[in-house]
Amino acid sequence: MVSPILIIAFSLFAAFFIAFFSKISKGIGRIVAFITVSVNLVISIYVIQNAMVKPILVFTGGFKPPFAINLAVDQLSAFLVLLVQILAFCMISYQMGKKGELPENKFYTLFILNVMGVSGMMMTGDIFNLFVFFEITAISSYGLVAIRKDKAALEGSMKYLIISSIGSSLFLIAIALIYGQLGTLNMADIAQKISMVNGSVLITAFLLIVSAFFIESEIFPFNGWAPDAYEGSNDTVTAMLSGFISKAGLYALLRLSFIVFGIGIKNSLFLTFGITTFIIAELSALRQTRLKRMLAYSSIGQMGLILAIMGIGTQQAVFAGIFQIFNHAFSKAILFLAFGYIFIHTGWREIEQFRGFGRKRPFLGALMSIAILNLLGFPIFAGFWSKIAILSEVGRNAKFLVLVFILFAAVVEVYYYFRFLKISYSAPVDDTAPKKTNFAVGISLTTMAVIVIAVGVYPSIITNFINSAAMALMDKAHYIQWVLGG
Amino acid sequence: MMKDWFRNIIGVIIFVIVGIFLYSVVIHNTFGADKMVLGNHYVKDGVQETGAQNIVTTIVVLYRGFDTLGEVTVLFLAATALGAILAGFRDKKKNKKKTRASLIVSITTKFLFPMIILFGSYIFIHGHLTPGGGFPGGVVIATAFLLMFLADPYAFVSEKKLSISEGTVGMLYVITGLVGLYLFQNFLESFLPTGSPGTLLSGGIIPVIYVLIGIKVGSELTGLLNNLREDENAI
Repeated sequence: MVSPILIIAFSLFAAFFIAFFSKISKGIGRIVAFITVSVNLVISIYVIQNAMVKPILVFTGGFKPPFAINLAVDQLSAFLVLLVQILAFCMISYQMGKKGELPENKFYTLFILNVMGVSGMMMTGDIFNLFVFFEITAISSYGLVAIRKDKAALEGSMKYLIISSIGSSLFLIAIALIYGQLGTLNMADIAQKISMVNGSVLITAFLLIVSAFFIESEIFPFNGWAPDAYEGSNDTVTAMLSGFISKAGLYALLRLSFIVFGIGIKNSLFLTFGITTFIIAELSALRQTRLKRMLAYSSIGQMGLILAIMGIGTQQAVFAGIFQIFNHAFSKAILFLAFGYIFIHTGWREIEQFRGFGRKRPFLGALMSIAILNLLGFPIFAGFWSKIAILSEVGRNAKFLVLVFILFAAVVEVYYYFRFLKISYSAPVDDTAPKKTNFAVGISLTTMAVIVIAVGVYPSIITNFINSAAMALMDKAHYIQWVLGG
Repeated sequence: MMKDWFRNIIGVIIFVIVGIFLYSVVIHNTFGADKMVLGNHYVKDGVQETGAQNIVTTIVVLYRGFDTLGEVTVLFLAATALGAILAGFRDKKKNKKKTRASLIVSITTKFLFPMIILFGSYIFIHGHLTPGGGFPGGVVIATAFLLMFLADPYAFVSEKKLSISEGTVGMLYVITGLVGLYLFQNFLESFLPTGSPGTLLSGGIIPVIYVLIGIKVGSELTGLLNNLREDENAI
C-alpha cells in the first residue's frame, strides 16, 4: 500500500535535493520539479483508489492519536489532493515550455513546497499540523508572488504577507483557545469533545478561524490583498493562487466548520458572506479594463459562490460546491496560463488589446473560450452540471432570495465574459504575425480543456468521487469513529 | 471627510465587539485546570516510552516530530524566498570601500569564533538531556558567523558550501523519517534503541535529528545573514 505521507516526504526530499545542487547546476530545479510532481500525481491516484474503499489513517512517530500527529485522508481529502496534483502537473508542464523565473532553482523549490503545503493542509488530521502546513503554503506563496520583483509584484506580495500573517495569527489564537479548553489537538478528538467547550470560548474560536480562512479564500471583506497579488504575480503563480491555494483555505474552513466545530451559525455566515462576495466581486469585474484584474475579480466571485452554496448545508449542496471547486480550478488555470503566455509574448494587458485575438491565434482562443464557457456553465462542459446542481439545490431549499442574487451575479458574469469573447472574435485591427504556441504549453492547456469536456459529456466519471467526498464532509460521527477507533 | 467619520465609527464598533468576545474568553477559559489530555500523557509516560530525559525535546522531536519537520521547512522556505527576492537586487556596487572593525574586535572574534561553534554544537548534541536543542544550537552557530561578518566586512562564506550542507542535512532528515516508515510503517518513528535515560546515547533518533536540525538551522541562518549582508553593501 502506498502511504499518502509519501507525497510530503518526496516533495521535501526533492526541495532539499534542489538546494543541494542549486549552486552546481542551474537547470536542476526544472527537472527535479517535473519528476516530483509526476510522482506525486501517481501517488495521489493510488491514494484515491484506496481511500474510496476505506479512509486512510496514517500515524507519525509511532504513537496513536491523539498523542501524535496523524494524517486522516478520507474521500474529500483524496479527491482534492488528486485535483491539486493534476493542476500542479499541468502547471509544471506549462512551465517546461517557457523560461522559468529567475533564480530558477529557488522558484522551483518554492513551487514544490507550495504544492506540498496545500496537499498537507488537505490531508492532515491534526489542527496544529494544519497550521504548520498553512504557514508553509502561505510563506511560499509570498515568495512566489514577489518573484518577478517589479513594483506590482512586490506590492501584491507585501499586501498578501501582511494580511495573511494576521490571518494565521488569528488561527493560532483559536487553536490555543481550543487547546486550553480540551487539552488535545487531534481534530477527531476535538470534534468528539466539542460540547465540553464553554459556549463563548467556542464561538470566539470559531469566529477567529472563520476570519483566518476567509482571508485565505478571498472572501469579502477580507480579500483586500487578492486583486493586487493576482495582478503582480507571474502566469503560473496566478494560476496556482486561483487554482489551489485559495481552495486550500476553503477546504480548511469547511473541514473545521463541518467536522470539528459543527455549530449551526456557520450556515447563515457562509451564505451571507458568500453571496456578498459573489455580487461585489462580479460587479467589480464588470468595471475592469485589464483582463488579468477582471479574471482575478471573477475568481474571487467564484469563491464566494462556492462558499454560499456550502452554506446551504445539505449533502447535495456540498456536492454542488465541490463540483464547482473542480470546474473553477480548471477553468481559471487555463485562463490564467493562457493569458500569461500571451502576455509574455505580446505584453497585452488591456481587454481592448485582445481585439481579434481569437481569429489570429485560433488555438489559444479556442482554449480560452472553452474555459470561459465551462465557467459560465454551458452544456457539454463540466460547468453545466455544477451550475445546475447549485441552482436546483438552492431552489429545493426554497431560498428564493439567494437564487435571485446568484442569478443576478451570474448574469453580470456572463455579460463581461461575453464582452471579452466578442472583442476577441471581432475583426483584427493589426496584423501582428501570430506566433506558434509552444508544444509543452499547448499540451498542458489542452489536457485541462479535455478533462473539462470529458467530464461534461460523461459526468459519471467524477460524480461518484464527489458524492463520496460530500458524504465524508457531512458525516461527523463517522469521521470521529474511524480516526479514533481505527 | 464623511468617509473618515464612517470609518472611525466602524472601527469603534469592531473594537467593542472584539473586546466583548475577548473578555468573555478570559472569564470562561479556565487556565491551569487539569484538562490536559496530551500534557498528562507526555509527563507521565514520556520518559518511559522514549528514553529521553528532556520531555520538551521528546514532544518536539518524537510526538510532534512531523510538525518539527514542517517548522524546519518553514525556515528553509523563508530563507529561500528571501534569497529569491534579493537575488535581483544584489551585486550592484561591488567595489565600495568598507571600514574594518577595530583591532580589538577582530582579534577577539578570532578567539571567540571556535568557542561559539563548540557551544552551539554542545547545545544541539545534548538536546535530549538538557534544555536547548537543534533550533537554539543552530542559532548560536549562526551568531558566530554574524560576529565574523561584523568584525570583517570582507569575510567570505561560500554560498555553495552552505547550500550543499543544508541540502544534505535536509535530505538526511527526510531519509531518517523514511527509514522509520520502511521499518515500522510509521513516518519518523524512532528506530534506534531507547537506551537508559540520562546518558548521551539515549532517546532513540532524537540526538540524530537534533544534530541534523542544528546543522540545518545554523547553515540556513548563516546563508540568510550572508544574503542580507551583501544586499546592504550593494545599495
